[in-house]
Amino acid sequence: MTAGSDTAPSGGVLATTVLGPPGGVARAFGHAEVYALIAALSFVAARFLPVLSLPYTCPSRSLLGLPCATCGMTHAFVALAHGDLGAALAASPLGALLAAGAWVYALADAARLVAGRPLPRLSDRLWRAAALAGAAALLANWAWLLAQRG
Amino acid sequence: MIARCARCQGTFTTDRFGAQSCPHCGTTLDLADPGAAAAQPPPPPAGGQWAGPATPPAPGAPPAAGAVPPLPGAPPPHALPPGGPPPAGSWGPPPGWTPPPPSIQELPAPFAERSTRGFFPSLVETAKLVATQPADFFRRVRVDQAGSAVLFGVLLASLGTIAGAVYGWLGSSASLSAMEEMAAGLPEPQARIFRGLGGMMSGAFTVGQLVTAPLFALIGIYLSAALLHLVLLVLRATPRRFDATLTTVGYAYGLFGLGVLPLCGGPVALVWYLAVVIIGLGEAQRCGAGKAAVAVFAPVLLACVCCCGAVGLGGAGAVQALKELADTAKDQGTSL
Repeated sequence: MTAGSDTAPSGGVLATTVLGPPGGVARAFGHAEVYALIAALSFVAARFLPVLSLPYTCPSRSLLGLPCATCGMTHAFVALAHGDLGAALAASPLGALLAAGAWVYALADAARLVAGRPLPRLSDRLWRAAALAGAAALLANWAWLLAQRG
Repeated sequence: MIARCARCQGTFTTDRFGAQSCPHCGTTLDLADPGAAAAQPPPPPAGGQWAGPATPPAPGAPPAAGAVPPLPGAPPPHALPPGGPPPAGSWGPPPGWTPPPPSIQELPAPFAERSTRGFFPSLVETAKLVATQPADFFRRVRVDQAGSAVLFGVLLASLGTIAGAVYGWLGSSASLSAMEEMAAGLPEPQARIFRGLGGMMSGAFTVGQLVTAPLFALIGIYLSAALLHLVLLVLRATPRRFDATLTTVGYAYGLFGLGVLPLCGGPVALVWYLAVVIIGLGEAQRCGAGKAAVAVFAPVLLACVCCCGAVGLGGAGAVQALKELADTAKDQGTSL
């Protein structure tokens, strides 16, 4: 690792840092891999652990008789991990989508690491759009749950 | 090779040294040849650098490697050099020249230097800085050492969780009998909640908490950082990228170590964490406390909107449930 400096267009002097060896590829275990590991762990938990036996009831559902925005997500993860797509979608469409997305991401990241390819970089605009779409999807999922079970 | 831009902290791939543009912010950078690294000045010695407020270098002086852009709202740079405009024909800056704004020297957190400072002294010193001087700490801390921040958060948050689980287990016998009594007089859905809470105080559940505390702390840090960063992205408040958010959340998460205090530890830790993460994100991301507060509370607000909607829609149901509860109590000859 080394650092150098030069004059920026504004007249300031900036330093920049080399994080990897010349000619090297991004193979290190970074943030992307931590998220992939969390996604993979969610599959292991949903497939092999008795998560539905945990003594937990959604307070919104118990007290008000109405599902919250994230109700059914655990059931969706468990159903999809056991290959039951219909049950997963019925429990929570967003949960099924989230589970599928997370596990596909984990597989894709593992394949990228094996192939030694660099992490594709998404633009800030794309991330912003994804965040807004996620919030909208959460509200839409909640409306769907209310319509189904409310 | 992979390089990091000193202005936006973004990483990019390049195959050559020398002058080039950052693909993220467009700043012109010079990537020095590693062969010239020996000519670089030695890094500042570790220890004692965190005492006192951050003092920017003199206006116009080149910042050292690792220097970062100034905070928004920092005092404006001098329009003219000290002593007024230079006389015509003399050496000096050209007319209208404005020196670059003073930058802030980044420092590694004490915990990031645990190999030289010692593990426990660096842990305690970092915890003190995070808890008592969050603005100064997060303004100056290096954000390219997120691993140390995550380790710090995982260690202390696990300690708090483990202490909380042990306290819960120690007091479980009294709590369980009280919950059973309460659940006996409640309708089935409400009684199920109480029984669930009682189940969370069993010995097996406590052992499970002890074993999985570090894993859940790690997951909590990464998911919180991702959520906060997404909201900051929507607010266009991420000039220093994800590492700054993760560093802030990691060090702030260490405050959950306050869970070792019985009874009040958990709530105090939560409030302190929220305050520190708002201040820390504002400073580390150079976005100000306002946007940081919006980022922290936006998910809560979204949840509130959902809950308020649920309350509005389920108001009639709740009233009916309360009525049933009152009838049940009347039938059993007890009062609520």
